[in-house]
Amino acid sequence: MIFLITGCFPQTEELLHRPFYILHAKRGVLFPKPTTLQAEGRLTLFDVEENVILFSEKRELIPLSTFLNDWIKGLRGFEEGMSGTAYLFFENIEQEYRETVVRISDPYIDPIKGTVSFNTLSHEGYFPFHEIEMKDVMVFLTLPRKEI
Amino acid sequence: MKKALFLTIFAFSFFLPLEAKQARGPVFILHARRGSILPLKDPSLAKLIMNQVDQTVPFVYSHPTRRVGVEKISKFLQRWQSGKKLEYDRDPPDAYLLFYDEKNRDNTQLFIELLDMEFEEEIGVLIFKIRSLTDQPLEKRLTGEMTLFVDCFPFCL
Repeated sequence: MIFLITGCFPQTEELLHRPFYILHAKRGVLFPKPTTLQAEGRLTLFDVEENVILFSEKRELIPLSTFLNDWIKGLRGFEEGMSGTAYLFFENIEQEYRETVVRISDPYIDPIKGTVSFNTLSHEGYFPFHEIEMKDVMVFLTLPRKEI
Repeated sequence: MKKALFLTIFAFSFFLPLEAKQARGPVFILHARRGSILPLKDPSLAKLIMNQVDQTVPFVYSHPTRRVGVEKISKFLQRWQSGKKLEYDRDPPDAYLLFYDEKNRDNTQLFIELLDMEFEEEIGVLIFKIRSLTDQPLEKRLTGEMTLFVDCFPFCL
C-alpha cells in the first residue's frame, strides 16, 4: 500500500482533547518581527474561504466573520485575548508541501484588503522562523473554547 | 463445544471488519465553494455536485491517536479508485454533508452514502451519486460553500 500523506502532524494534547477549526486560504505570508529574534511574527492570509469548519463531536460551518468576531470579542465560549495553536500546511514558492506550527492571537480583519492577520509566536520545537510565502494554506487551529 | 466455538468465530467474522473500519480510518474533508443537490427518480437517491472543489483535502485521523494532515485531491481520487475495486460496490463510504444556509443562517446537514464519483478536473467539479441514510428526503438545493466529511475508506492510512 502506498502512503499518500502530503503532510501530517503527530498527536498533541491540544489536537487530542480540543475541538479545532479549519481555515483555508489561497495565499499567506508568515514573517518574523525584525526586533524579536524571530520568535514573534505575523501571519497574513489572503482570500480566505467564507466559512470555517469546526471539527469536534459536532461538525459545523461557521461564517469566517462570525468566528473571528466571537474570538476578538470573547463571545460564545471564547475568552477575550486568547491565543491558539495553528498547524499550517502550505505550498512554498518551490512548489513543495511544507508544514509548521505557530501560536496565533489577535485576529485582525482588513476589510479593504480582504485579509485576515494574526500575531504569531514560534511554537516550541519550530522556531525561529523566517519569512515564508505560502500558497494554498490549510490552517488547523485549536482554541480553548468553553462548551456552550 | 466445537459448535459453540465455531459460532463464536462466525459471529466475530461479521463484527470485526466493521469495528476495524471504524477504528482505522481518517475522515477526509472535501470542500467546495458552491454546490447543488439534484434528486433522481428514486427519492432516496440524488446527484451531489460540488463546484470549485478545493484541490487540497484535509484529513483527521482519530484512532489510535489523533493526527491531522492534507493530501492533494488527485491522491484522494486514487484512493477512491483503489477502494472501489475492492469494496465500494458492496459497502459504499458513508459521509456527512454540511452546508450553510444563508437564508436561515444555520447549518443544514445530511447523512449519506457515496455510491459513485466522477471528477471533471478541468473545471474542478466533483459529482457523486448519493443515497440518504435517514428519512430526510434529498430535495433540490443550490448552496454556497459545502463540506463533505467522508468516513474512513476500507483501507486507510
